[in-house]
Amino acid sequence: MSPAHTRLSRRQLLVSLIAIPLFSPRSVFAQTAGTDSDIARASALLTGRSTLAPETAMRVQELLSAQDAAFPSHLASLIRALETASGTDPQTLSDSLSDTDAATALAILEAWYLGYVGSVSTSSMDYDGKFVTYLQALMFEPTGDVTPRPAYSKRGANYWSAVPEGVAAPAMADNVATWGLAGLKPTTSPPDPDPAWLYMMQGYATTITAARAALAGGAAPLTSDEVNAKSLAAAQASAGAQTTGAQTSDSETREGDSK
Amino acid sequence: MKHMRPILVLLAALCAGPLSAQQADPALVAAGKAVAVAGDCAACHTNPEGKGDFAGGYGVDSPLGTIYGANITPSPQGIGDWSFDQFDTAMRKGRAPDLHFLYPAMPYTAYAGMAESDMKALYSYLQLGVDPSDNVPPHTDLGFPFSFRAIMAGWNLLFLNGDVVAGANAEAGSAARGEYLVKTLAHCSTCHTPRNALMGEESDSFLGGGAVGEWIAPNITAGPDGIGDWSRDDIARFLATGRNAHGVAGGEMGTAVERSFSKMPRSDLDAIAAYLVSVPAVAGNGPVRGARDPASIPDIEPPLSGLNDYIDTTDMSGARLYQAACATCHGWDGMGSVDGAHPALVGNTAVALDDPGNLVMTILNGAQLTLDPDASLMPAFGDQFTDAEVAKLASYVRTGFGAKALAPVTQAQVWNIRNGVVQTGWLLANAKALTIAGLGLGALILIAGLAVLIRRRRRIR
Amino acid sequence: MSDYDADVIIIGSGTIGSHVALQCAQAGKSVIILEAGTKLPRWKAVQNFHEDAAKRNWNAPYPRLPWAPHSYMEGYIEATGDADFDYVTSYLRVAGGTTRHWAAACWRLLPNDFKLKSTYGVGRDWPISYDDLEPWYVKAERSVGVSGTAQDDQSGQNRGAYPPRSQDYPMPPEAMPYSVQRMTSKLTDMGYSIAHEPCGRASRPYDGRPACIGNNNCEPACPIGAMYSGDMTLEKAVAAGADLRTESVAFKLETGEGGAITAVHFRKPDGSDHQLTARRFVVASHGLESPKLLLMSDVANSSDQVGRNLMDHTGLTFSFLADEPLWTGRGSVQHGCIVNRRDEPSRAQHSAIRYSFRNLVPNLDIAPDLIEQGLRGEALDDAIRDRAGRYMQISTMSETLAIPTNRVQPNPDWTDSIGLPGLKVTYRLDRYVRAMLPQAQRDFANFAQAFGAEVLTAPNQWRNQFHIMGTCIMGDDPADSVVDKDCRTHDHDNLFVVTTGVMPTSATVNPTLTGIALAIRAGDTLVKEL
Ligand SMILES: Cc1cc2nc3c(=O)[nH]c(=O)nc-3n(C[C@H](O)[C@H](O)[C@H](O)COP(=O)(O)OP(=O)(O)OC[C@H]3O[C@@H](n4cnc5c(N)ncnc54)[C@H](O)[C@@H]3O)c2cc1C
Ligand code: SF4
Repeated sequence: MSPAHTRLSRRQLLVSLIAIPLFSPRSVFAQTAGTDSDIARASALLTGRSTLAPETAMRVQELLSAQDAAFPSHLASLIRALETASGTDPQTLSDSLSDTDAATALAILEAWYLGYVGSVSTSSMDYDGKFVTYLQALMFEPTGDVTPRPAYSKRGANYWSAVPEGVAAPAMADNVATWGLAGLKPTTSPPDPDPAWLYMMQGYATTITAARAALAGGAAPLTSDEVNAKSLAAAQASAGAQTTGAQTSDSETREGDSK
Repeated sequence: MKHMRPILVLLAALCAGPLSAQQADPALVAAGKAVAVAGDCAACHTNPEGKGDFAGGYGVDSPLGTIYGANITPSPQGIGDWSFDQFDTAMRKGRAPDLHFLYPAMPYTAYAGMAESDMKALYSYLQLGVDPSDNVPPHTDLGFPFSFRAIMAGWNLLFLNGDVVAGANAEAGSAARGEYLVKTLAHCSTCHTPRNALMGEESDSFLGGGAVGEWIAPNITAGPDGIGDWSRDDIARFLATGRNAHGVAGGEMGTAVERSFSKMPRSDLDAIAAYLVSVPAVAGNGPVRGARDPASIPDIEPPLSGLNDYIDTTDMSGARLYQAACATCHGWDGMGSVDGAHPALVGNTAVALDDPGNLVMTILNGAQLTLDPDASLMPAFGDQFTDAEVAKLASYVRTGFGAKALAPVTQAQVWNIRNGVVQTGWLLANAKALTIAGLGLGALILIAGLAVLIRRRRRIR
Repeated sequence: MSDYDADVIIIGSGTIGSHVALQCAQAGKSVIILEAGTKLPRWKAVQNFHEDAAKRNWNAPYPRLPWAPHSYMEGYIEATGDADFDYVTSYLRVAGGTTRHWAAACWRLLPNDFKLKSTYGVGRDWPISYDDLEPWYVKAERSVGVSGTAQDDQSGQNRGAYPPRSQDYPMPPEAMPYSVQRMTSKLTDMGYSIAHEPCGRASRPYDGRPACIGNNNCEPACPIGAMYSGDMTLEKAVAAGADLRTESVAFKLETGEGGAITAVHFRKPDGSDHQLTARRFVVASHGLESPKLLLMSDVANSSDQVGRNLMDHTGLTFSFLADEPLWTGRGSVQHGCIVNRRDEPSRAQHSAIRYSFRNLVPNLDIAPDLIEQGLRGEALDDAIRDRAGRYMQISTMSETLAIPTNRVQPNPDWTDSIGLPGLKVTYRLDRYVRAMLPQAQRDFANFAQAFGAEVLTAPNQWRNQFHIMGTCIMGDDPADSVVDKDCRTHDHDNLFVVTTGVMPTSATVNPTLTGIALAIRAGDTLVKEL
């Protein structure tokens, strides 16, 4: 049954997508063996999903324990807190946790959503991240009807030119999707940019509201000469000094892609 | 045909020839072309070097040696000098004008049932609608005893039934027209009907499933072991495009779809469908059904020790091989793509046949029908996998998506299939000795086997 | 004949070396290919991708060989350069080479890219023109199987169908994804010219390859082989009779009388040394490894230019959330780009620029932040969906110039498991590149405005695009270049170098198709000579 062609609510859809993998006979069997482990219960409560594979939950536990020997005791504390709290909404439950329990919860949640524990790198083999799951990585579920889990396209060639599910496309020219000269080509030259947007591009604001407020307060985008001077100065900055736009290690792990 | 020559010029040239002016009717030539398509003449009579569709020279491998398709263009090297009667005799009785016997790689036992009108049309087309070519195909030499073609006379006596099948001119799209096509031009039973000990078709198991080389021609009767769950539209679509929700045409069937069925009028495909759904059910030779044993995600994803090795592939289970090579299109769970672009393996005939030939052949060679330029194809995995890996993979696909009860595929089976070693049996292996010992019957049986053991020489890429 | 082990020995089985090998083998020459890495079937790379934690590490699914380290192995490349930029590059050591994990953009250079010096007064000119290379581009496009449209203006300068072509692409372009339709719709109005990115992805079945179905995994491994990769040409070369020897790391070319190369020495993983002789030698070991081998052998370097003039398309990346759903991630990893700045008069002052739309499934880019922000349950899922739908990333391919001080050398201070040196890279961004920043910021500001962007990463961080050029630079003058217009080294008649490293200008497009065209051209010379 194609999720794309059914009229399920998205929530129903999510539930069905999650459910499919686990109804194979073997894992149903395994489930009875392990659903009541602390890690399986914590995983279910934190993600709001009752169908996570218990074997994978055990793997989360073993990997997190290998990372931090205190994990089992942290888990015990977390499960006490979760089970004494009222309600089952993951957000409410999580918000009620102490800092230590919240950190444990975060580690478990990251494992399930991202599909690995530890840190990974886009530009070196020197990382300690360990694989947990790909087919169950929860971060792909909310978008499963629109985009593929990479390497698992669920559709055929050229499906992507259609308006994605759930999108109300603005009106566009008839030939908008035509590549080349028969498609859309400009008749003017690009304009000078609006100063507030330029200010944002220079890294001084992330939203247009903030940028406009700054400009109203007297700030101004750098001139081309200032941009160049700043760039040349940054090139020279002594090693180790914090330079403009230096990446945090976090963003580094997420953007590394080049062609 | 690429270019039809002006009929008049031709008529002048052929005045003294075998085809008389009255027979040279353009409508008849066009009708004959349709007959040639339905009969898939080009499949064997094509020329691999591009000298023309009917110039001959295409080699068909048989366990006895290579049989080369004849030149059937209107040249002296071809059938240019043949009268209609001579042509008719060759088509129906398997005997050429010089009275030499044709090997039954040419399905004359099926063509014997053709209507007179179709035979005339075909003759007109081959004489008038085809460019003559002087190509002389390589000589077919199967070695003694098979080189002694007269042994065919005995075989013909046993297996050649000359009755014309009715229905040629029945209403378009009707089951009667379908029956005519199935039994004559489309020669479905050549592959899809099992053979008895004497290599004759088992008439009470008509279309109950047979074999062609490494490929299995499944049961296509209208029962639970056949295609009883296919609608008429499923059947017609399969013939027109090579695929439907139940499977994809591979091997000989793929070639037949590509060259023949896809070019036939839709009404004829509907007719075939209308007839096939009425063919009495025969048991056996169909997909095995029953409980499946698919891997769960925790089975597929590697154990805690992590990735065992970034290079070594020897420890991979069939389920993990499937994830790595196949799941991207057929789905991690074998359910295919949501928009039908890639077939599901669950419910797929090739996957669930008792004989793994079709599955293994498809893994090795891919499925490369190019009928629809926008359709995807399955790449060949022959270069990517060892025999042991194919065996593990195929075994998993069978039990995971076909039925738990299916036997695992062995490495040796894969080797045999990859290398074209067909399980030909004792008789064939000992043909020479038997014949020398005077057991002519053995040779007869074996020669009959040519009809079913042939294998295309070259895969079409 | 019997005096030699082979007519020609090719060092490196990447796409470029494999093309020469295929040509020579098809012409009946005896060919040996030495390859440092191992063989790895496509499905195994896919499985490695599946089972590794680092999904955005394009090297991760490929072998990590202590005797043939790839670019991401700890310590292998030691880079020095500017304070505000880390030199990172990526390439593989595996049979078939780095195109096993490339993105398959297959551009031709523009005619002006071949005469940068005479047109704009900067950089160098090539010893050949666009017209000289055009017929070879045609062959390269057929071999790789490129999808594209001849009816496009790739220069963005209102030149009609440009650059001129003698033959159409072998396949039409794939369909335009919705996100690119939105980009085209809004940015064309503003004056930006959007072009299809020609790519080595089958848009319909081609050469036994299925059509691309949008697995969105071109980097690091196309699971279905819709995307071209060097192992495909390698397989053909082997089928045509080339003798592939994997796990054989070339470390020295030996020079004999009259300057001819007489033998190649190579080392196996067990440390044993071997040598082979041939009439002709072709170094095809990638843009950084090729100069390393030449420098280690002290050959071809009378000009002192080997390893120098290192160029990449070091540029900027802008990622943002649009004010409407665009849904990147449907289709392949890239489809279209903005070409206005590829060939403008400002090239006399600063880098030409091409803006490329990235089209990766962005969940991994956005989910970690949302989890860290404390979103849970349905709120988290809704936020992932909302942001994944609105995510967009645009990056620049910026032209860099051949500067002799930007260079690669063997690094004797680091050795691999068989005692061979690592790489030392010195790479700084000069004023020419940096001066594109104001232009890029202005354009990015317009893109941001068109889509009401909320900034995720501002475009002020330099990063490489892993395109290596200049390191075995081509020219007419033996005093300042390494190879001549046929990719033959000036110093050794029987030594050829084929790599994107021979390119004297970088232009604004991915270089591999040009490298392949040059290699096929060099292969033709070789076949005629042998
Ligand atoms: C992530 C990524 C994306 C890319 N995307 C694109 C793109 O979209 N378009 C584009 O045009 N380019 C792209 N590139 C660049 C492209 O991959 C290279 O230009 C191309 O691979 C160069 O081909 P090559 O044959 O010269 O080198 P390689 O493909 O690297 O092959 C060189 C071979 O030589 C072998 N070798 C190295 N040293 C030795 C030795 N000493 N002895 C024996 N063998 C040796 C290596 O193992 C390797 O197999 C991309 C690169 C990366 C990293
Ligand atoms: S999008 Fe997918 S199918 Fe297409 S080339 Fe990339 S990985 Fe292959």
